[in-house]
Amino acid sequence: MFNNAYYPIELHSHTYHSDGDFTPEDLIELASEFGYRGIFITDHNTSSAFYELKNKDLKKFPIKIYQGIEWTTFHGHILILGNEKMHDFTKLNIYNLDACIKNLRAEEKNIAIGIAHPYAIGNPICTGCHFEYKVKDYSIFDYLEICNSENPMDVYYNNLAYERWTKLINKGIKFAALSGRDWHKLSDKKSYVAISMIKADQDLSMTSVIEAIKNSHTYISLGPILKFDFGNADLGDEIKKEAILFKFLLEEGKFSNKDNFSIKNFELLFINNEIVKIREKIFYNEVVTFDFVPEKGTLRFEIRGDLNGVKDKKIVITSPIYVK
Amino acid sequence: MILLNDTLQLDNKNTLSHKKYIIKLARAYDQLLIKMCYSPAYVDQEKSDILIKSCIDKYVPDFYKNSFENINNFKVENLITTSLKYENEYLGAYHNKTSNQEIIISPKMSSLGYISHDVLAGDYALTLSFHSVNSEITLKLLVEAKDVQ
Repeated sequence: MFNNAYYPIELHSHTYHSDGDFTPEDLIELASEFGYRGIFITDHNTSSAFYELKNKDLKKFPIKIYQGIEWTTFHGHILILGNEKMHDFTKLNIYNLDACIKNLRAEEKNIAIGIAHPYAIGNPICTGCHFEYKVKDYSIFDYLEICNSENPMDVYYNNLAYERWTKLINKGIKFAALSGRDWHKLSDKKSYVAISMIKADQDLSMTSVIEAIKNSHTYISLGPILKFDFGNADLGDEIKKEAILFKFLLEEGKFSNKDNFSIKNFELLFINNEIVKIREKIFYNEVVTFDFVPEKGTLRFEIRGDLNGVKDKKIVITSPIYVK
Repeated sequence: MILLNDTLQLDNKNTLSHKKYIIKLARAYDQLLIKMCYSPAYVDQEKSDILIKSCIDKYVPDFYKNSFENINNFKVENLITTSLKYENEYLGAYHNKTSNQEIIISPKMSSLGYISHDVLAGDYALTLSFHSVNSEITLKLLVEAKDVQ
């Protein structure tokens, strides 16, 4: 039975309540037209756009709207998703991030916290965009934004974030694979984006979305929908080292940008402790199965393919399964 | 009632720091008005070119430096933002490169970046955040409590 409970949800967006071009309503309309089922509004150091929409009744909008905020500090940008209050960013300094996040989690029980564009260029070209905090324990975060902005696979700093992410998960830190469009303005017509696919209940409740991020029930896709069946296991789960039948089905996504760029010639990769153990062609709408015994550590999956004519680009990246 | 009227001379020693003002309101008002303007908004081209080169050297690994070949006419902007707290409750911020800002806090409608909030008696903390100060900047700040009749 394939898992169909993963939904496209945008985690990083801005309005004219900070430095975005959109009114909150325009942003929601665009997100709905694109094919997202939900969106976190994460303006810089404020959630006032969310409150503006909340005052107009969130139920009248066609997609789920979630509260978020991007702490936009001098030494890094930190995405806080699911906050119920706004929180002062000015208390942060380069050494106290662990303590600030601990205090934040004590105040807000149902939040997910991620590092935005950790390797983007920093001050003064992009103020605070490069993550420079001295962090004692990376497990205070739930995710690293490994694909930021539009055309993310062509952005150099996302390669660095991806490399960092693989190192962190292989140290045993539970970090979801997630992306952020960092949506400030109308997209270029030819652009592609990385879409965060997040497991949620049918209502796409905030609680279920946050819980899924915290448990790494997520994957990133440039458009195709990856369905899978690992028996009782899911992405982000801990499993025993034993033979498992891994079943996959790749379907074409229906996002509004799908004709703007070209993806084809897909291969499915099993990556066990950063070693590619299986690499097989995969086609839309054909089920593939593999009986595989993973080694202890991390097991994750990627779909690679030709992206705008460039071979071996990442099309889908899943969060890992942790093999104990 | 004017609560604060200040002029600051800033330079790159101020960059990446905050300046906090505590403002005490003895009684409730209809609205709080914050006016902040600074100049220049942009760093001059010569200085900007030096900053950009140094920024790329610091943050971009050699392998990727060619991504920045077309950055020639980019000008570094100065960026100063406001944020406000009332009795430790965070009311918002306006993180935008507009160098001339007029912010209103009121119960029915506040300016972009801020939540609507009663202007009650008590302590307000207004913070200026110097995200990028890379010129010799003059900043003017005025905070006023008003009754709208």
